[in-house]
Amino acid sequence: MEQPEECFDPLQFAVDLDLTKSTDENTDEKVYISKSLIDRANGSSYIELASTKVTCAIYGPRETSSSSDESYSKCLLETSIKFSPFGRQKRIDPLLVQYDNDDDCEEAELCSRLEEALLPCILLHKYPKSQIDIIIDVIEDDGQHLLSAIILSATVALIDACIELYDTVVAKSLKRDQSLFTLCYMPNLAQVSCLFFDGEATPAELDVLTDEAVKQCQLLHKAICKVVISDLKAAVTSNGKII
Amino acid sequence: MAALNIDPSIIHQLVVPGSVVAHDTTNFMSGHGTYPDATKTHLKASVAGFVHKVDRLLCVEPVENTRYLGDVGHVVIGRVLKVDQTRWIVDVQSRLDAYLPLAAVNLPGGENRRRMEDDERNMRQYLKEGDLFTAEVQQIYQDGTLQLQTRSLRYGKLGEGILVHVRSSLVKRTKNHFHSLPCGASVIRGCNGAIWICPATSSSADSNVVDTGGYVKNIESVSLDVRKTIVRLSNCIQILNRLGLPIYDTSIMQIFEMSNVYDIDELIQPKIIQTLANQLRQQTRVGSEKHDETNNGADPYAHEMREE
Repeated sequence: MEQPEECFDPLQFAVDLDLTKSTDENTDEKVYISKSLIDRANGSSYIELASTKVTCAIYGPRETSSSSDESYSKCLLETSIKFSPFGRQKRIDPLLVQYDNDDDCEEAELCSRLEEALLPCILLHKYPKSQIDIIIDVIEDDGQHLLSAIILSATVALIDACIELYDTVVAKSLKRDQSLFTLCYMPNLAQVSCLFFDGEATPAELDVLTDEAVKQCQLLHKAICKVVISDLKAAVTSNGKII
Repeated sequence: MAALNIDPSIIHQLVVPGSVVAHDTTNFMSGHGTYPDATKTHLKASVAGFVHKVDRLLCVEPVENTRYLGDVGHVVIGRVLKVDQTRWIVDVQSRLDAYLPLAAVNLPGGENRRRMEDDERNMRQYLKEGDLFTAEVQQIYQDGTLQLQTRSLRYGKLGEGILVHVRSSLVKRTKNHFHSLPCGASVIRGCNGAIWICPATSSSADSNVVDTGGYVKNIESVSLDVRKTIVRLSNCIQILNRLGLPIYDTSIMQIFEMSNVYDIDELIQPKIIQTLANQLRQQTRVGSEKHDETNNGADPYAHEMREE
């Protein structure tokens, strides 16, 4: 599928970052970010990372149906990820129910990873007795960028929904041989919110991967900022608010 | 006073969550959309929007998309979600559902009667799940839940009409939210963004609508002309919402009069909306030339509509 024309290479924002040490595996991975697509949702986004395409819708904060003790002091996060049947090389049956003790319960695992990545960055104490529903639709998955696309789309949709965040979470996936390394980074706080690694590596290799992922996350962060600010400007001129 | 450590260019700037808004927390208080960071030395933004400064309060205001927050005294239009023990749970398009306690409604037998058990059992006869009604915000709990009351005869269950949802920030907060428009329909503007348009009642000629205390749902047949007026008004209010203009009785009537040239179904087409926006702009320019000192040449309708 052709990518939309507004795709940009995150490298073009690298005016002030030192990229001389980037490895040559950084092929042209183009990024497309767009938000506010779904009218009914409070916030929504659509992300394309290389050929992975993911859309996210956020409903909330709204009254929670759970009556647990936890819900009285802070917000609950409900995530749901669904693959479209044509998303991968092999067709995924949408009616197939996945049980928790199945090996193949990928959707649930991605959900828990997404929650782990996002919980540190939302100001949960500001929304007591409420819940935020995050619903993710995976349109296409190219095998490498799925988790980072999911986290990025959730972040952009959270910004679109005007939910208070400590910082934007940016995620980057790197593939080395058979292992997949995903890092979730908060640029302004300079903190890693979480890190997922599937495969084998030595500690030295992990250090190298971490450094490279951090650099690329900073680039992606600039891309997100550009999109958010240009959308805000467009919204302002169409709503006539005089500054 | 010591020099305030804030870059003057940050005011009215667009920020993203995590960006630093002020480098000095001792001189500023953090308002909505900001938080003091872990080291307590900077104020950072937590939403994407504009930075506003009022004296020493810094807040970041998002452009759109904020849920209704609520304030004491606001008139709201809500829908009953659940009938609880001694209260109704109401959806007012806010972050949390609002409560309408049994003690805060008018009972048929008189206003200050003590609530008996029978009243609790008969709650559903007054308001049941799915009913729309108007109420006033009585108080706000600490977590943001609103408590409503319908003690005045003006509030109560709503009968026939159209409900329109707009952005709650566009509903202008005025003294009176119940309007009887000269075109033959009545409009109730809820501060939570819900606007109710209904046929004009045959009650008092000079003052405004619905003083029945809202027990009776008026189901009577409505003529085609009145229906057309109501639908036209609904489209006009949607246009005001689209253009981001404040919604109050004068602005509604202004657009209504200008829209009489077009058919009702033409009012949803973007081209016609653009024409109306231009007309409004010219009208206010003519008006503002007479009141030069208030406007300072600023054009409240200066904007371009986003291309669809």
